[in-house]
Amino acid sequence: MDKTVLLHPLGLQGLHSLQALVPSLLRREVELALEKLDLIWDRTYAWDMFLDMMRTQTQNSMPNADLPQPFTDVTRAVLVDWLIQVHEMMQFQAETLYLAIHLLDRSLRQIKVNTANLQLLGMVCLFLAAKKEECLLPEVSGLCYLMDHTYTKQQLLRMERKVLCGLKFDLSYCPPLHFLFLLGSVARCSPTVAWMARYLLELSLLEGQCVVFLPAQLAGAALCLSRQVLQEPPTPEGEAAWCLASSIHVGSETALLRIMHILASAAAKAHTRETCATFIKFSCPETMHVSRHPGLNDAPALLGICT
Amino acid sequence: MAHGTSIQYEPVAEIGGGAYGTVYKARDTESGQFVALKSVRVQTDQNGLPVSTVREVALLRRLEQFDHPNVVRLMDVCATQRSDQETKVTLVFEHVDQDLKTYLERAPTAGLSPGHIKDLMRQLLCGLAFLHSNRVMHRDLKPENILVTSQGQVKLADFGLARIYSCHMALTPVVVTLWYRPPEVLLQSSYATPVDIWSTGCIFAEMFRCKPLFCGESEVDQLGKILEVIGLPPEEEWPTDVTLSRKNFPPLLPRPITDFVPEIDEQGAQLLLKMLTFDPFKRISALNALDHPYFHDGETLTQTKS
Repeated sequence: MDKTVLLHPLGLQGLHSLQALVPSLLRREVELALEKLDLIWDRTYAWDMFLDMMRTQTQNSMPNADLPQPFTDVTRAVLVDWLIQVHEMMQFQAETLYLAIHLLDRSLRQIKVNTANLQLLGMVCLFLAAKKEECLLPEVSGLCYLMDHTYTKQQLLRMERKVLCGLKFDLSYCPPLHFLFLLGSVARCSPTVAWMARYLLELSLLEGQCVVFLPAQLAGAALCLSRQVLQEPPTPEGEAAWCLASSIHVGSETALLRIMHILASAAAKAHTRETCATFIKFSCPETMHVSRHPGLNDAPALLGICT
Repeated sequence: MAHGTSIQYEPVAEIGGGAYGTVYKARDTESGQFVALKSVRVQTDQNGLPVSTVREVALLRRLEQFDHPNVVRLMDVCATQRSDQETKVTLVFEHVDQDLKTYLERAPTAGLSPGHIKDLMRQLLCGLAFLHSNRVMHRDLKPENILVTSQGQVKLADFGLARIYSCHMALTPVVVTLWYRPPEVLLQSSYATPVDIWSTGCIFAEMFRCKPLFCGESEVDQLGKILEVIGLPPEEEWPTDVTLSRKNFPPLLPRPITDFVPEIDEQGAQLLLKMLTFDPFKRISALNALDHPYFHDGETLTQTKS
């Protein structure tokens, strides 16, 4: 991929001397970040891997947000919320959740399921994501128990084959979370900004409208909004690092703003919703209580949305 | 789609019974194209398809995204249940009529031209470098699974399958050819991507000779034939974790590789020796092989330009 494609033309205007430095500076920062995040074993492959991430993520978004009948964004959100709870109970990696929801979104569009089997489909997507990402796997009988034995083990395994065939075994996915870690690391974000962005990013899983955006866009928007909500006092180093991070091209300003709007509205309403597993998860001390931050109530206003 | 494979793909002929089960040539009734169907029977327990199968097949799917010109296309994958304990995974590959074995058999009696060999070798190494950089090894590279299209394009087939099969399949009594196996595999020591480079070296020599380089009849015999050419390696290169001792072999000195591959040029011979290096850690990598002076001369450069 051409390096210039990756560089955001905005935000760097007038900084010609810096602009000339950016490609090599950015490359070094990305390499360091990927290494620090343990996403690579060998730094010589880091830049190639980053370009791979940028390239393959374009296959990870849906062409449109339409769901097949009779499903709606509301049914989808209820299912995703339940999966977030199961995922947390299983103590799986965060990546497994993102992969599971991605598999769910693709399966819903690839294979025919009726309402009665929707929960089973969701569980199978989580199970397959775990098979791809986790070291320890739950027993199928345990999964059936979690669904009150509504489905038999045979039904679950049949659904597993159905999903694998429907997806042609393609389980590859570049989760927005990895882009968030990368951007956050290059931007030298504070732990609060990073946790707030993780919260906002996880809220995007519940929003059916978000499936059309690229993983890097979702991560970029979550980080931008987190900074705006928290309004930490700027430092010269912080601003320079942010400038460098935002030179990673994550799509048009319009797309970024649209995602920020969706996330701001979702965050403002999160505590009143029935689908509040993510809100609760990020209200604990380990996540710095970010979901209860008062700034989130005014987040839509911050972006100029009337609520 | 669970029983869709049999409908969408209409078998035309059996095209091989290799160690991995039967391979069929079939017609895709949707596109009219010919495909190759390879089925693996996987043992399934009460937790469904094994993790290793899910990951290995997903990796093959991921490679597909890169659309590499020198690896065969994986077009579809399907899983069907055969019994409570067994699931059949069918991999649908693009079908190429000709493999390197038949290609060499059909070559003129004088053999392939040096420029032609160089072109085939470059493509073979490109495909291999791609697989290796994605942490996939072939493990069973031989002329039969190197495909050559009618336009002369080389495409690697059957990569990554060795792992999928060996994990779950009861060993079938099919004789697997030993001729392209490197010393570390023959000695049952640990191995990694350099195994494929050894096999590539054997194939490189075979392109000049039009017959295999080392035709052993057993593991020990194969290793003996190898050492007759490359000589007995020093004690420190002999793997320590193996049962077969270095003392079982006579203290042979390396013989000039041109005794066995007379038509090869100076640079080609150098590259060949770097591929047929006993110690896998000292063996050249696919990426470095592509950088070897053998590939630098003008002859093939003009050929690829025209």
